[in-house]
Amino acid sequence: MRRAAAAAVLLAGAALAAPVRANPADTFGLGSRSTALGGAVSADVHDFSAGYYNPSGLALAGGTDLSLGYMYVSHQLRLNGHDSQIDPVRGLMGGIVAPGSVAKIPFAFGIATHVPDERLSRARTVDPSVPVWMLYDNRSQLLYLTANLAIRPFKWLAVGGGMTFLAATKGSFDISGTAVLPDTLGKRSEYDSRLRHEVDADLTAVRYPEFGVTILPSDRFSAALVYRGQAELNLAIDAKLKGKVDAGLVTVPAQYALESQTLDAFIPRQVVLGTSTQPVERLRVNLDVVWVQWSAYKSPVSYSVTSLDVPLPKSLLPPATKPSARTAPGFLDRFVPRVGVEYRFEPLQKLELPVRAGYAFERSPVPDQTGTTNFADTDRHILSLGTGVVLDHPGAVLPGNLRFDVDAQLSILPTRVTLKDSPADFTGDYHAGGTILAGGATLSVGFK
Amino acid sequence: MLAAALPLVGCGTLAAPAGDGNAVRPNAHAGPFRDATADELPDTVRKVPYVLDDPNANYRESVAVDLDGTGSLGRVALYVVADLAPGTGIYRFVSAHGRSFGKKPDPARPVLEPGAAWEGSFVGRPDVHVIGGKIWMLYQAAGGIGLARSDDGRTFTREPGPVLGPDPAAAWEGGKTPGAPGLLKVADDDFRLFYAVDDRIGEARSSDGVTWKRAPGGPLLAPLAGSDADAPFDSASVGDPYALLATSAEGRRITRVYYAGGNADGQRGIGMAARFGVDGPLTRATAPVFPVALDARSPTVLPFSGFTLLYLTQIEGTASTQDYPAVALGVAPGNASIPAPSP
Repeated sequence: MRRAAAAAVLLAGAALAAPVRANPADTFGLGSRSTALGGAVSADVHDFSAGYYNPSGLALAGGTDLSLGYMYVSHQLRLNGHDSQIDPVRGLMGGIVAPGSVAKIPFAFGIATHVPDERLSRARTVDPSVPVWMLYDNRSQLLYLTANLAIRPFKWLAVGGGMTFLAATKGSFDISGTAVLPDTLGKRSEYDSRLRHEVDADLTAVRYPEFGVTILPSDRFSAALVYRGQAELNLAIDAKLKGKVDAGLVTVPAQYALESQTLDAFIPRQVVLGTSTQPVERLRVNLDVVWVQWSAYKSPVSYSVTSLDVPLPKSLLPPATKPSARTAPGFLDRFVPRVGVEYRFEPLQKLELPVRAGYAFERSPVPDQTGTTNFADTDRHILSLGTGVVLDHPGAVLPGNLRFDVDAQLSILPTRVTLKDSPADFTGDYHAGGTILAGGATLSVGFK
Repeated sequence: MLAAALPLVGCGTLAAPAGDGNAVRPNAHAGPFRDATADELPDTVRKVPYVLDDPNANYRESVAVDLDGTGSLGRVALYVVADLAPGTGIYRFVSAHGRSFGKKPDPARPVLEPGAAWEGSFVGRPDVHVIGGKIWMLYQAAGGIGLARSDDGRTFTREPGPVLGPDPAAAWEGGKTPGAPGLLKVADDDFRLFYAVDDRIGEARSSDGVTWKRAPGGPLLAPLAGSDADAPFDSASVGDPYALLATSAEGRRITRVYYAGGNADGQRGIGMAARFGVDGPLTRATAPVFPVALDARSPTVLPFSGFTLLYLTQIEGTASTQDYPAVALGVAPGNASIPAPSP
């Protein structure tokens, strides 16, 4: 009986946290060329990945362009030396760029997507006393789709915009019936319980806008400004338990209700300023600076209100619990510098071998976790490399080009030490750090 | 979706069921504790999670001692106040695997009974530790806290008088008799004694464990204020301190004091307060470390490799036939798995 009441209080006292969820392009990039250039492509993108980096780049494509690729990300993140066992992020990526013109004004339509090959979406909450990698654990396990439109009213100006869609889940569950408390003599088992479960789950969509402008004053220089909107999805779970607890000699009715709300997905607002320069033939140097508004992130800890009705003496019940308190996590805005360099070798006519390298630095937006929250995160140095093959007019059938690009990305997360203010903290001091290794390949076909 | 809902059972208030949780919660071994399960208690006759119980013996005010000191769970001695045939006193029970104690004490007679005039008619609340190869027992009696030492844990030689008695100069104690001792050896020449007076916990210091000097100032730990409608479990009383030293994952020294708390509604539970280093005020944990029910008292915390055991006394159950004290066992972290006892 006490165990049943205590179990109910476990639910009553739940103050759970949900890892921040975002699109995989945000964390690991989209498309092999853009990823290899450190994501510094806002002023130098004109394939399907423009749907994420700068929608106006769609209007700079030379013709219809189809891309299909695959990416795989492996995490080697550790907390106090223990592997955090974060699931890999993997899946197909691709898209299409379809140019045209209206009244002699060039425009283009583009779609880009990342489709995980394990699950479309996953909702997961964790015990807040357990340190969790807020920006990586479960963050990129979702379907990403963006659709954009761009125009080029002047030779030196391109403008584009559209919407991005993310898939998320929500649901509720009801439990009713009779729960049997086991005895030590083996005559009664919890498996003798007669319970009925009803689960209701929905796959929903989160949408946010993005806009981009590219200015091309010359063939050797371009600049861009991009805006990505903020989005969030609240996960509401309602639970009801209504039935009886069979303790052998006595059967006690019990009713318990829980209302819980959690911020399940959060996409911070971003503004990107980028440039692309071609100082010499075949060499391109790109620089982007991204402002990310993490300060708008609300508490990932769930808010819950509970009620417990069990006819037992108060001395046998745990003390009444209060609604869980949610305090702002105090995440910090950050500026993310990105730099990319590309040199295109041309060993043969109609054959190009581009070589690419990139670097980005993401300062952790998570403040020191000295209190009761445990959002593990550190700064991130992102090193990327890539290469490819470009065949121009590979055959009579294909009047455009055939491109095959590969990329590799190494993220270094220096160890960050967390020292708790309270010596009685249930979590205690810890250090966190590690690496993330990613790779991908993209095959593209361009029609001119 | 149900898989997403199930983690709701994991809670920062109490230990989560075995099988979930994350081993990298560095302070997981400090609590919260869950009940030991039937698989972990080899004695199938007793009700889970009890390791020593008898409706006629009224086992209470227990303390457990790791006799092997190897870090692995082996022989554990339990000193407990009991009403047995030879008489009421402090008895000793030994288990080869720390999880179930036979009904016959070893030795059959009490290891300590009232004997000196200052002890009055009872001795209780033992606190036992292995120090320098000897068994030290501090205990509560009518005139204060006494000290008895033994070479084998069965025959004790006591100090002639209380090592800590009432002190009119200690203003917050009101001249009342201290009791419920909790000894902590910090170094060979640095001992701390945590004790209870008037539902509060105080601290004294000694260089030899025999001559004690009270720490200046007020109580180290007092009942926690709270509204009548929402009284914390320890808003009326704190007592039964049990202290031990630990080191954080980043090398910071921590003194942890486990205690029994109670509120005006009759709810009692086991709490924990701690401090960095060996001096200074204590900071409470945000929640009790063991379920608040069944009149929990007298915690003993024994750390082992991979898990920590909490021995405590509480009433056997909620039925009227179960209204007697017994010794129960808790385990932390919640997902720990205690190895089966060797045959």
